[in-house]
Amino acid sequence: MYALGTEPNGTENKTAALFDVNNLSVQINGQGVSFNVVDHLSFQLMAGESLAIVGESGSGKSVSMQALLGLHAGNHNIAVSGSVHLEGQELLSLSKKDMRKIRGERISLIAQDALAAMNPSLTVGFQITEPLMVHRGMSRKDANRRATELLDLVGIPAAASRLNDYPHEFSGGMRQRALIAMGLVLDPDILIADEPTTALDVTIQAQVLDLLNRLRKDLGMALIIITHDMGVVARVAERVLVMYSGTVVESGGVREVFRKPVHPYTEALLRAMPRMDQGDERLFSIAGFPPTPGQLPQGCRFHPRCHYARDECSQAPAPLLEISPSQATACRFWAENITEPRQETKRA
Amino acid sequence: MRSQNIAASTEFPSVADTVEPAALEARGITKSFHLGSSGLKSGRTLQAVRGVDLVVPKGKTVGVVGESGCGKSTLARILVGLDQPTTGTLRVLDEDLATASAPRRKDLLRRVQMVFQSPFTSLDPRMTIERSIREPLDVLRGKQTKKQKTARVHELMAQVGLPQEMATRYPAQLSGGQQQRVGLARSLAAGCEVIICDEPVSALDVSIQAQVINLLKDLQNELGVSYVFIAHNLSVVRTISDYVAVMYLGRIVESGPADSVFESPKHPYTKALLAAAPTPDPDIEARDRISLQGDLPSPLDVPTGCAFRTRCWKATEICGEKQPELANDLDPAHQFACFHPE
Repeated sequence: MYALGTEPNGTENKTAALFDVNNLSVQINGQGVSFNVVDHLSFQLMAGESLAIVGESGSGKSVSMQALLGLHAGNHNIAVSGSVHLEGQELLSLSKKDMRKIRGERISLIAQDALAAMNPSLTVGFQITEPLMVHRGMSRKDANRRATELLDLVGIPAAASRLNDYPHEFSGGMRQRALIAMGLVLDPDILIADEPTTALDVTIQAQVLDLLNRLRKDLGMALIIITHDMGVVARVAERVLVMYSGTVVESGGVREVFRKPVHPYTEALLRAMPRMDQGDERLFSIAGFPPTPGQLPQGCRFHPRCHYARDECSQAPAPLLEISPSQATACRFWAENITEPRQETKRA
Repeated sequence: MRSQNIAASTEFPSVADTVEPAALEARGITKSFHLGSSGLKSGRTLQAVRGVDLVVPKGKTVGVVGESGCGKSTLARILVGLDQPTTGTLRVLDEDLATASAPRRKDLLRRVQMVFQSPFTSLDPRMTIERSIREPLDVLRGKQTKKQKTARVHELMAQVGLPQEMATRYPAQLSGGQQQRVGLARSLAAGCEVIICDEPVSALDVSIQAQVINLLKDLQNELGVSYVFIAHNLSVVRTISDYVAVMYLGRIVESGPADSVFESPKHPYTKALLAAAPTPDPDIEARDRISLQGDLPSPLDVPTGCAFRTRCWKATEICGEKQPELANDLDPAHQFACFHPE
């Protein structure tokens, strides 16, 4: 757990960071307007660590992951700036060809919608073995053996016999597992999972999250999980970044953030979640809805919805401040606003 | 809520049956689909709902939970009159729909409305919000003047928390939460007493989800509407429901007051569902967690006896031989269908 600040590059501790994202911004230009959907996102990831990026739709969590994988390259309406270092190597300036070697080999992405992420007209086996044959030059036979191992690893029963099945012949949970197997096929150092369980039932979601946890421990992979569900964060992540409207508003260790959120948005998100151990009572709700990119409020982007907001909040932007080695907040008044640790209230 | 022998017993054992009058009552509902005349599965019958009793008391909320494929959406379509049950009876305000005259049936069904999961696709993209909300008034309550209707639309918009200036907008210009409010306003415009909510908040962000849940509660307090709240998110169901029914492969396996079911689940499936639900607290990690193995069996090929036995860690021989009845001798309000309850 290291510095997460948005300070200009260069100065902070770079000891063993596997992945170092600095001031990543994504700008969308079109029809005479341009706006940042991701604004100065910085974070570091250690080998084997699990990081969750939480935020509502439109907060920029998926776009930033696509940007650092170079998936926007070639799109003239999207400008990506900042730096992304993987073990010291800058990724954003790589050629398309070199970037292709990073994706899958070093960093792989598991998409949210497993059915849409697979080719419906190719067998699951072919889709898993294709990278092995292309990247590693394996024979079909060896690749099939490896694919069987992987399907076995992600818990698909009778793996060998399922290789010739098409994606539609798999159930939702199995499809998501197969997609994870596809992500693992080249032994990446970093696995990025974009809402991997959102489309699944709770029982299957629990299986998939346990699987991700297990794989991370067994294979020593780092995991970045994108989600909007604080329950998922609590279950798999060690560290968390909370995004709002394209910026990080809070970051820190999962335990710290859940016990004592230091940004009003995080606090509100935690309180807005209905909880199983707390029955019938009025939910805390955040008034209004997130701003549209291009029409951002002045100053702190959350202030129009923040119930602690004061005059200063609408004037100057709120940078991310490090308040302890493991926690940072983009709220200048965090100390006055949020004084009490969040209480794990059992309802009376 | 009970199962089977509907005709045989005249006494209703559960609290839901006796204490409050029912707004909606479903008895012994089954629904089978005959699969097409061509293709691999032709000639086979899929039993989506296999004998469900559900009583929705006035002004209360009944939550229905279960995995996808358990028949909860089919049940919803039957409750709202979009599908006919294969067998079973549906009573609205204590009148049997099957024996009611056609105009009476229409009037009864008007009182049961549905709010869908996807707020955007359930609205006509080419109708303004005002027209969308006025449509049920035009179709179902023809006697009012245009002026009365416009006033009613504005009243409904205020009730669901939509600012008046939204009246002239189109669905695409609204956020998901606002679209869902329009859906609710449309249900209320029809003059409904029961709203069947099929996953009404699962497409919404957390902060917006809380707004909509609170709105549902407010409307219930003000207008006394009942809800059947179908969702897979157990914490949401917990927050809003008075009674809960847990479905597995077309049958209710446990039902009762929400507090009782959530705090002391009797059926292993309920227990597993509760354990699987993610809780926003990293320290709960350590608690004993049952991880349910495998997927839901195909409804084309329902296991014999107790349908859950193929995934149950308590299953014994009897579970494969006999189908357990939904019952509870000690506490008739909280029933479960299991030979080896917790």
